[in-house]
Amino acid sequence: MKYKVTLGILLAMIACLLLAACGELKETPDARVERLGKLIRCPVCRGVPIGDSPSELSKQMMTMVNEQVAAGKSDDEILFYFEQRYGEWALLDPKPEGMNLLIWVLPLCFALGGAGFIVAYVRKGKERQD
Amino acid sequence: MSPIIYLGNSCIGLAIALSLFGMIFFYVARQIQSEGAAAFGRASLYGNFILMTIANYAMIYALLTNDFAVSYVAHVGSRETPRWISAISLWSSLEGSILFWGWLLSAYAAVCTYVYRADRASLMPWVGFTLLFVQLFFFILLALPASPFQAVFPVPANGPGPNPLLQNHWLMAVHPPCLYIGYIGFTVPFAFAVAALLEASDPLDFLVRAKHWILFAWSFLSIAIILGGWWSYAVLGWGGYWAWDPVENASFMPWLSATALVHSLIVQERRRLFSMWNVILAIVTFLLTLLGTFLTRSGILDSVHSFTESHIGPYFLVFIGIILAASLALLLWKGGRFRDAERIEHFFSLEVLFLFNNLLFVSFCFVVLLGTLYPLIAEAVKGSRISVGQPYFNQMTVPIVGLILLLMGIGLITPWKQGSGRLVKKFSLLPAALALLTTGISYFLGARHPWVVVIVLLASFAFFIMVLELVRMGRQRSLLRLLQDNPRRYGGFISHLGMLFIIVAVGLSSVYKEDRQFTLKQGQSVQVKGYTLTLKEMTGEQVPQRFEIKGHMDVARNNQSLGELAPQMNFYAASREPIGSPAVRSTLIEDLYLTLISFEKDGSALSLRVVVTPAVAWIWIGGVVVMLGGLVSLVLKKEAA
Amino acid sequence: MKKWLVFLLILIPTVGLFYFGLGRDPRLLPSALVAKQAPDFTLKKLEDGTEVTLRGLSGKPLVLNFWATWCGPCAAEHQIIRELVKEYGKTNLQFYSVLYEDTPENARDFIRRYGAGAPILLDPGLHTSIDYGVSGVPETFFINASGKIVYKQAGMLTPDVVQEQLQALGVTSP
Repeated sequence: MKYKVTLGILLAMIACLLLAACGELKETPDARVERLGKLIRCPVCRGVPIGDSPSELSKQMMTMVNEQVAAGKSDDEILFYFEQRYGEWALLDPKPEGMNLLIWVLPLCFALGGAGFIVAYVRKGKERQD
Repeated sequence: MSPIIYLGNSCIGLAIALSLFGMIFFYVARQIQSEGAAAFGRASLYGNFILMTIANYAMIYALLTNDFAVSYVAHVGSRETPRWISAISLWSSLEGSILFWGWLLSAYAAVCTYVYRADRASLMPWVGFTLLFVQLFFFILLALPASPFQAVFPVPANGPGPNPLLQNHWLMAVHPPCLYIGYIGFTVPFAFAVAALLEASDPLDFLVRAKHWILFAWSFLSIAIILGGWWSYAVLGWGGYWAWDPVENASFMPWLSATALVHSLIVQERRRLFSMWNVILAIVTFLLTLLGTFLTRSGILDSVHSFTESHIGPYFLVFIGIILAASLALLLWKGGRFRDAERIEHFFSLEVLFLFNNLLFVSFCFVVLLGTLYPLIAEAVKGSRISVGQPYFNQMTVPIVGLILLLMGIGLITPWKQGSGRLVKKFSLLPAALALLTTGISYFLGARHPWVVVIVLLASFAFFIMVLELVRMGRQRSLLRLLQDNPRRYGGFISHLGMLFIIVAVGLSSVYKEDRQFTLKQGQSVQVKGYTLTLKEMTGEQVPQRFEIKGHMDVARNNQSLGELAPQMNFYAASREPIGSPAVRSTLIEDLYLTLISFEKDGSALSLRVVVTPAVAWIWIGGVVVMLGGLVSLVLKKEAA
Repeated sequence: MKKWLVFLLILIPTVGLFYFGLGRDPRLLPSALVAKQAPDFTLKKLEDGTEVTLRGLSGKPLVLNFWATWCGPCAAEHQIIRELVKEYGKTNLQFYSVLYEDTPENARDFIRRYGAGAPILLDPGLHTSIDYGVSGVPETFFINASGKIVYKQAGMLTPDVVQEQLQALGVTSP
């Protein structure tokens, strides 16, 4: 009983802490520009987002992101702007549609299938034992 | 023609012949149970090692003497390159690195042969056979598509020097050898796995022979990955150390599967379980090392770490095809004979936790593999170019890391076999309370991002469970005594501690990185996160292999001078783009990282990137600790148990 | 039987995928803009600072080349462009070179040394380069009279490519 109470109190405190942390998540425009900068691929580098690239082109693209954020454009609009010009290749986070969904669904299936397999394996072993 | 060319090519040709003969001898040795034939087989493994040593020595000699008649030297050498860089140019480009690879592989095989020279188990000839087969492939690469010893005519007077990115930092002397020691080391467990399957031997035959090799290779691969991150950080100039680039992923995937293997081996050792699974993991790890090499060296995927185009792709494809087909066939048709002697008795037992640990690591590996290959898959299926980058990998892997941390903690207080949660109940409350306290403190100190809170909470939970466990054990015996009595367990503690450093440091450094750019005139100052940076002067200097531009910055904090940092830009004759050398002031709390982006030609002004990142140093420290833990449990012998 | 199926189901797609991968160049990017309306631009000429807009050029086929003085292939390409301008100067073909990540001084220097090619347009904020999805120079767009992008050449132009694409635009050598 005492154990459950203590555990309950601990979990409640952890939940409070997490809630408080999520409350901190207010994005400033600068943070938004930075986040968007990580989502767009630098066209002249290899696999680096424009936010991390020192190249002139990336810097100009970051300026454009900045301008569009200041102009109140939505994330999707900004990403679409670059996708129109450079193709889907420019998006480092693939669009969650069509076949692309596989990269989220397959790992989930993999993990769930594995977990199911473990449960079945242990159960089978236990039955033999009993 | 240079005698070096004759010497090198003769060694490679002889090694090919010797590998073929050795394979025949081992095959015969197995079929007619002839010890004499096996001795010949072993002799060819030793012979290959000697031949490869000579070939590598010849190449280093050619590099040091600037013998531009040798194609590889003409490709990567130059008279201006400092001598130590000339020597390590052995692995600065494709052909040389395959030569080095061949040497390490033959060294591993020779040591393995020597260690087991008196081992008469029926699987040993197959081990030699497999090792020779893998060697044969690399020797063929050296003879045909990646030949470093070609004659160049007319002999050039000078060469371009090694890839500037690779000669820019001393880490290039350390990172590749560690990586290769790790990578190539997994060939030995693979050979044991193949032999065990072919012979359908007792699963323990595989375990007792392969486990040391696995732990050794794993330790080096661990430190190599960290050193690779450090190299990116110190050279590439964007203030980061990991970008989920295909080359990085290529080294990470085998590490993940090997980490799963290192854990599940413990279960086989203690409980005679998972024997088939361990064999599969050993094979998968080897396949992933081949896949990684193939992806990065054939130019099949676009990567930051540009390797020159080469023709080894088709050869590698055929080899991977053969190894994959053979492994699959063995697993499918011979694997069924591996049966575990024992059974799992209860859900709530350490065995099951280890199973979930393996599931998490393998899922992690699957995510990385899928993300790396998906652009290729999408193009093959849909024909369109897409990218999978950092955002995908981060969102997929952070939850997995969180779960791994949770298991890392609970695993230590969960007993084998039993089905009760009594011990977990008893020993988890105090660590949970301490973890909560720690997280609360770090929250008030400013670590408030939800992901950071979760990671700090889980990591400190695992940490305190470990500490309290040590305190309990330490009451009876000294810590050193504990380590000697059970090096595997407490070596594991050390590695886990290192992993905790790394995970927390990665979390903090990626969330709280401050990245700014400034243009400064001479004498001007800027303030970043409490640091005051003043441009003192700019200098330009010609050193033998390059021209260096330095921006001398005075660094101060709270009106106290912290000395000078001089980020520089290096101009190599061989490259149009200058290569930067960032200047870093590293402390245990945070790193101040300066990169020179551009400068006025008259030296009056410069553009500077200033990155302040907390906790980065702990990643490198953690890497060393992880490796130490692995080596400790390998070197210290468990006393008769 | 089942085992064979598993065997082939793993082996064939894996090897097939890598076989496909070997046959392609990961750095060659198909343009997202081909067969679309060319993005509008307003750029200043290097020579006299007058403004050139895409709208002002419509009605006639246009070749738009992106280049820089620091790029090796661009210098080689320059000779081809010079001949092209000479050969097609009297036709209705319009030819412009947009300077990418470079300074006007460098461009003037370059022309002094190697001779003038097509008229040069300046793109100081790289807006036009980004609008055209330029990912490395040289790149050349072939735009038809109604302002549609017909073809994009990534990398150096060759006389064959030029011939073929100009024919597609309906321009014939005089």
